[in-house]
Amino acid sequence: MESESAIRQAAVFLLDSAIRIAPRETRDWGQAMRVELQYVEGSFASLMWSLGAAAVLVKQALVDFFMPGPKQVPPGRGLFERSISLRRVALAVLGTFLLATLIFFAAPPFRQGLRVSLTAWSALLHATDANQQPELRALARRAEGRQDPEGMVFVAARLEDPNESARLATEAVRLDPSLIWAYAVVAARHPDLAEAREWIPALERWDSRNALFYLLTAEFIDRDDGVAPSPAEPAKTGTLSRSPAWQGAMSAAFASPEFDDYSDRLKELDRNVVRRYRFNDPFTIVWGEEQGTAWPAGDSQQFARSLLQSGEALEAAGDDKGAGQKYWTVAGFGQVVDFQGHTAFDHWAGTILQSMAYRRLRGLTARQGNASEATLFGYLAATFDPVKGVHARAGDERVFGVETCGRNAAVLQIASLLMLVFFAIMVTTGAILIAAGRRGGMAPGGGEGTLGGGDTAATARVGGEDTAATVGAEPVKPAATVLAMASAVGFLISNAAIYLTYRPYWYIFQRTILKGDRSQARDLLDFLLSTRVLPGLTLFNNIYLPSYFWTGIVLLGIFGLILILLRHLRSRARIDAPRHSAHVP
Amino acid sequence: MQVLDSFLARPEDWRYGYELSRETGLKSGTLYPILMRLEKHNLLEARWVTTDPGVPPRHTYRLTPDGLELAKEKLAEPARRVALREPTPNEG
Repeated sequence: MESESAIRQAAVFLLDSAIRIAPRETRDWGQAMRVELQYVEGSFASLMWSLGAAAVLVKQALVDFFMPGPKQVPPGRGLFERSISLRRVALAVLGTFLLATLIFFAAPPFRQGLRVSLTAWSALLHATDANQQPELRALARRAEGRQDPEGMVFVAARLEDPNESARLATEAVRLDPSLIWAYAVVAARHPDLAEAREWIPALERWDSRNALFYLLTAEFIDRDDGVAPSPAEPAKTGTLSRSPAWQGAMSAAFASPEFDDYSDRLKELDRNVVRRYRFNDPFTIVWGEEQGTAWPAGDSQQFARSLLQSGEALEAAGDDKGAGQKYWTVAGFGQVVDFQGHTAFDHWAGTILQSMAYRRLRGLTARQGNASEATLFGYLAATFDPVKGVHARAGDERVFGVETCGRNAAVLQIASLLMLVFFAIMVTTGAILIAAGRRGGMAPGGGEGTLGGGDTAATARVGGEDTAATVGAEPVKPAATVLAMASAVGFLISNAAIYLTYRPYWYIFQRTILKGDRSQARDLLDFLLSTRVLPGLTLFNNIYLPSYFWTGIVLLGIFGLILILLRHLRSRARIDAPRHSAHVP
Repeated sequence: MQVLDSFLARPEDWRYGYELSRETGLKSGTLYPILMRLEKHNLLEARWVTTDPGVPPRHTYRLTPDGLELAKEKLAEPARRVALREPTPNEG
């Protein structure tokens, strides 16, 4: 008895709730159904009564919400007029949610987030050839059209194509000679360029105290000699076999009192160009800054090692003063690069050189019996140790951490994929609903929404309840209607997920690029790098399984849409058959 | 059609919603949209009646003269169609 009472109470509660949300003109009918509820025999029957009644009121509420305004029957038009249907409500929901998405598109974080999220998908589907860098080339065309040297340098510092990069840099410097430092950036990025060798004398005249040009010259000699150590992994061989020209260039670099890789100038220029052209690709900007000023540090380590070896030889020969000078040359250059450099790469390179030199100086002073200096150099060697030292993580600080950035990138990518899938479902179901409406409207004898139209009357079932009947019945597409509304909700939620996930990174982007606050630049770069790879790809290194997996997901989606379409066509054929038979004389 | 049929059975009587539901076998979610539409087109009249003191009034319905006319016309239509669609063996 208690359970019966509880079910009846639930039925009353459900119907009362529905009456509260029903439009004013329908509340009388709601009350009518509510009063009848107490005469319904049996608790289950009362619950069914309540469910049906609530469905009627909710539908009216939806119609009233999405299509507000009086719905008077025009005089002279009869009962055969089509009523506002769930199909129309579904279409209205689709329209409303699409409009809501337009509001998202108005928000810059959403636009940028969507663009970032689609990068890896685009690469997977080969939608664009990323190596051609089409957007950078488009920006170059705009900059050349405007005769804007800063725009040209922005592109030249990032293009993979060395010849186009050199052409843009040359044109930019011709237009504005103060941008001559762009030669150094392009030369560091493309050391095989013939033009780069011609630029060096001009750069040396312009900034004669800078060690960078000597380092670049040494790199060019390496290339010409067929020796090309990577910047991060210096060759372990000695320097005795290297050409005198290379030795001379490196000696000049280590004797230079200044070091500037012009990364600060490049960042300042980036700031202007990004604002001027509203360039909206954060990865290109941030990665370009990261790569644009990576000078050949491998040569400096190799030369430092040779100097330290020479110092050890002098030490063995009893020339402590000569040995000390060699060690201090390395330490001094390390300090110049570390303190005057602007990037994490500069600090890393400078730290390694100092650590190497301080270790030798500690040995030298300890052997000389100078305990206090040996302790100091020991402390400095430990401090500048590239692995365990206090500066080991200089320029590498993170607030969010790599894992969080990776997770956020995966959420963003999945949300964007779902957004596309939901959009495809919305378009398909919307087309089905519109087609169903048109066919019903054109049907002879009233077709959709007729009283006793007989042959075209249909019944929709929602939640087990009949929601339309012979009066006002129409060719409702329950599956398409439910799918349309569900996809509209999913579409909005996935859009919101894109916006909310990317929003923090958009603000970091603003701070990092436009305001120069690089405190979270590492987080931004981690996140952007993660978005270049599809979720799951890192779990299957060198195997194309994820690509197959995601391609399978997309194919499944397409298969599902085809099924819906076939079902729609079949049901249309079923409806058409009796209609035609009615006209057989 | 069942609803019209039910009304036509006792055209002068005022009918309750639950009573109509039981007679026609239609559930509330089906029946009430029909009643609402008929009322909207002035084919049905509705009124609240108090049955017992202290008990909430109930909504009752019956067809208007226009509704009765239309119901008779529409109920006659299927019979005519059946006659057109399915000729008797004698005719064939």
